[in-house]
This record gives sequence, C-alpha cells and structure tokens, in this order.
Amino acid sequence: MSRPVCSRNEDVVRALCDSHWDQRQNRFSSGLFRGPNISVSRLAILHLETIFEIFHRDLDNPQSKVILAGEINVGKLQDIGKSHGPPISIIVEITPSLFNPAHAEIPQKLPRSLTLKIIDQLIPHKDLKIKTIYKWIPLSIRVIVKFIHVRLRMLFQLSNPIR
Amino acid sequence: MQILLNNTVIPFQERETWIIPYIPYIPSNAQVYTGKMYRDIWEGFFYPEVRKSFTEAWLEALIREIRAIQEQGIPVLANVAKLSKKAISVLGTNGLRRFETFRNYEKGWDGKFSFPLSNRSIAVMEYFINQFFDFKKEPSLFLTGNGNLQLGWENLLGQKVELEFFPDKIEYYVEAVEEEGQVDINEGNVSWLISVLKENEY
Repeated sequence: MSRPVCSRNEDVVRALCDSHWDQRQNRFSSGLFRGPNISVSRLAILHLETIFEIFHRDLDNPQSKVILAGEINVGKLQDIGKSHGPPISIIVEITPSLFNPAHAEIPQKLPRSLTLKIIDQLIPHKDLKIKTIYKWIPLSIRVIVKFIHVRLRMLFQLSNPIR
Repeated sequence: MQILLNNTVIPFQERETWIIPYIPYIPSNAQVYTGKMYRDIWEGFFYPEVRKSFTEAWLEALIREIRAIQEQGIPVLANVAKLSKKAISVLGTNGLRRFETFRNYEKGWDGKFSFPLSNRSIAVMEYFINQFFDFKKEPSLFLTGNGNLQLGWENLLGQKVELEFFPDKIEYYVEAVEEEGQVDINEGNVSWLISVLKENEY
C-alpha cells in the first residue's frame, strides 16, 4: 500500500548540521537532500519551535549539532524536480511516528545538480526556543498527543490537520 | 609468487578480503614498492600470510621506507591522521578546523546509517589535491553520511562544483558543463576531471 503524500501547498523543514553547512563560506552540501529517504518535518503539523526541540533531541550528539532548519514548499520542490533535465517527480511521503508526528520522507535518491538547486531555494531558520505555555508540557507528551491526532485524521482521510 | 618488503621475502598464495584499518602512507607510483601489494592495500585486499607480518614494527618499517621515497621528491598519497601541507593550504584554516571536527564524528553522527570519516577518503582527497591545487576560490569541506570528504566551491563565474571522495572513486558535479558522474581512481580518469576543472576556471 502506498503511503499518503504531502500536498503541494505544505511547507516542510530539514535539519541542518555543521557537516552540511559551511557557515563561514555560506555553502551547503548536496548531501542535505541527496537521499534516499531524506527526513523532513511538516510545518502543518507542528510549530517550528517544537520541530527544533525534536531535531535537538534526535540528532544532537557530542560531535554534531543541529544549527539551522531549512524550509521549502513542497510545490516548489516538485517544480524544481520537473524543470530539471531529465524531469524528476519528487514526492514527500507522510510518515508520522510517535517520536515525530510531523515526520515525512523524500524516498528518492536525487542527483547532485538537482539537490543544489533545491538548496538554493531553502529558507534558513535559526534555532527557536518555544515561548508559549506549551514549554511546560514535556515534549514526549506533546508529540504523542499530536501523533494520535495525525493518525486519526489520516484514518478518516481528513486533510490539512490543524496545529 | 613472492613479494619483497624490507629485504624480507613474504610468500602468499591466496587472497581474501581484509580491510586495512590504518595505512599511514601509500605511494601513488606503486612500482616503487611491490606494486601488487600496494594495489591490494589500496583496494582493501590483503593476503593471509602477509597479514601475519602486519605488525606495528612492520608498519613502522613501511613508514620509514615510504618517507625515504618522499624525500626523493616522489609524490605519495597520504592516508593519515593529519592533512598534508598542500591540503591545508588549499582548504585554509576554516577547512582544517572542519576536518579536525569531522575526525571526531562517530558512527551514527547523522542517523543510524552515517559513518565516521574514512581514512581512505582522506587519501583520495589528498591524491586529488596533490594534482589539482590551484583552486580559484577556497573550497568548503563537508563530511557525507558515507564517511567521505566532499569539496564544494565555485568558479570565477559563480558556477558550482562538488566532488565527493569515495575510497575508490570520485563523484563529481560540474555546473559549468552540466555534467555529473564518477571517475575511478586512476591517473587517466582523474587527469580528465582535472582538465575539465581547469578549462572551466575552477
């Protein structure tokens, strides 16, 4: 059974670590989107602040830390793929998990030339700290509640889940 | 069949796959040494009989002999704990700092399928930089999930190039010629890639 896919009007973010970004020269590695199975998170499901919390929890380690999140619109991503020679149909599959209900994946392995074009269109976001009352609720509780919410909506095939 | 190393005859009969974890220097002109042996080290293959003699003392002797070759001005590949002076001059202090950071990355640094920095990738990058060092712009150094080093920079027209140094090949994307592919590590292929970079002012 094929997985559901993100609609064109959704925005997704990708975690960026030191190894992907040369801060001093402001250059990015194509490894950021080469794949296969590149993990992204959907801004339609979780706020960027919460996604940053998940990135840090899952990806930070003594050697490497998440320093930026790169945002891109799914429709724009697909247009870049279509305009590439030869055209590539990029899909973003919805793959929520208990650890990250906003999780999605780009399953394809993409050529370097294409990934560098995608990177040119990324909107970088610096690390954000959650400021609302939600910060007092443990992240694990927040993501489990959201996961149940997303799964229920997928079950009843409701689109555009609300944050 | 026999090979001669350090004036010692080492017999071997059958080959088996064996990854060498650490070889300090590998000469690029293999005929200086017993060529086949170097080729086998390079490819990650070795022979059981030789492996038995692959001790610290053996390595030290190997390093001494190879340094003697270096002193004669013969280019060598480095598969080393630190970068050569030529590589440092190309990468600059920023690249060197990033290299030192990447050396500390452990398995799983970017998800469970990410690997630590490969010494052989360092060797391939050194091999490349030994032949192409006149970069028009200071390149950026990256580490890929495969544990390979990768260089990215632009030519004078702002067109990008990206090279990923695998243990046995270089994957490339050259925007100026809109070409993407890979070359195996041998003199002819790498020379071709270098000529493309030179022609396009990289």
